[in-house]
Amino acid sequence: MRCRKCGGKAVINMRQHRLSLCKQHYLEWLPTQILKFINKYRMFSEHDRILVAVSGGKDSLALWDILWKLGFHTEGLYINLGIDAEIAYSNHSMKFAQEFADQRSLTLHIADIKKDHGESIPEISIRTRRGRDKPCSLCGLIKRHVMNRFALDGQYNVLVTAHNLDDEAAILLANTLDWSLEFLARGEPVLPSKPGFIKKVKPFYRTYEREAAAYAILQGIEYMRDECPFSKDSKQLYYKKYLNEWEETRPGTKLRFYLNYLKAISQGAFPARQEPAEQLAKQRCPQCGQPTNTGSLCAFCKLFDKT
Amino acid sequence: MSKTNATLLLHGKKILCRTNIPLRKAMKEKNISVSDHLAVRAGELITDDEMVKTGDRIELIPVISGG
Repeated sequence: MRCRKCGGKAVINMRQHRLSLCKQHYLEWLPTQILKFINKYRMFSEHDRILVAVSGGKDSLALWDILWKLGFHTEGLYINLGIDAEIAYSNHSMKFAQEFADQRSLTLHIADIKKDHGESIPEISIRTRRGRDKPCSLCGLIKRHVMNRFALDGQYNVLVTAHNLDDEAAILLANTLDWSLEFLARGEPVLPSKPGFIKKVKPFYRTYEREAAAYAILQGIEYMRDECPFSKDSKQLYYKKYLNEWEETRPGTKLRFYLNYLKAISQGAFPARQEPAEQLAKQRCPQCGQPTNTGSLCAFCKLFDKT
Repeated sequence: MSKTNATLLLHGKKILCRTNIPLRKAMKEKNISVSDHLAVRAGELITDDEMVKTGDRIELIPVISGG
């Protein structure tokens, strides 16, 4: 297979785009695409202070590399969840993130859940009912809270996550199967800031997971290849594999599924619940000060409340 | 399988496969999803239409993560 731009040997074939590219042209093509999506959704500009959530995996390191090369002012945040029983997963992932940052003289902040709150994710999941069998829901809750707080305290303008098209399509499939209208209303690649919440953006929303992996490999980025021990048999992996089966027979299925959903949102198919700004400003967790729906302890502080 | 076969490496396991067929076909014969993996031969990323040659060692890198 030949590169469409130069006729050289292709290293990747993107059937959904009917495009095959050589190493050099792929490494040029992906950042150009990402910049186009950032501008299309007005995610951020060169004047913004950007916090990138990094896990040490291929997606977040590939995205951080692209944003750095594009000249954006970025700093990274790694959240150490203390998942270190069998394969030292968290510490190993953190090492990849730290090495990546050091090689590029970038700043990586580390939030350590056990140090800061006394317990790791596996320990919390044993103590609490939530996530006793599978702590993935705890993980999401804790990461969202810590990222938001860190970004607000650090006065960043925007929080960037490396959710890719496969992530978004899998979440969309799950939410569609459950008819979770509340979540279906919030699936856009930009979540604007509101009182107590940082603006969140996903520049990889149109990037296939294999495209992000290819970028990381071709760029020589060392990343954590082991899977989180708790993600085995996860629902998200299950949906991703199904979507990829469809993708093999009908290239572009995932992209069409997600882009047509975005079109439906823009046409008002899933109206978001409106919460008046004053209400959000008033309903604050008495312990951490972050917004909460109830006005009492937020879900994060409840986790660590042993009274 | 004889020495004239090729090897696919996946999750640290060696999987022998036929040669003189496209990688896509070799993967399908072993029930390995093409969309879920990238392939690296001799340190270079390769596309799935590449022919598998005798003695090849092709690393298949999973690209799907979850959780």
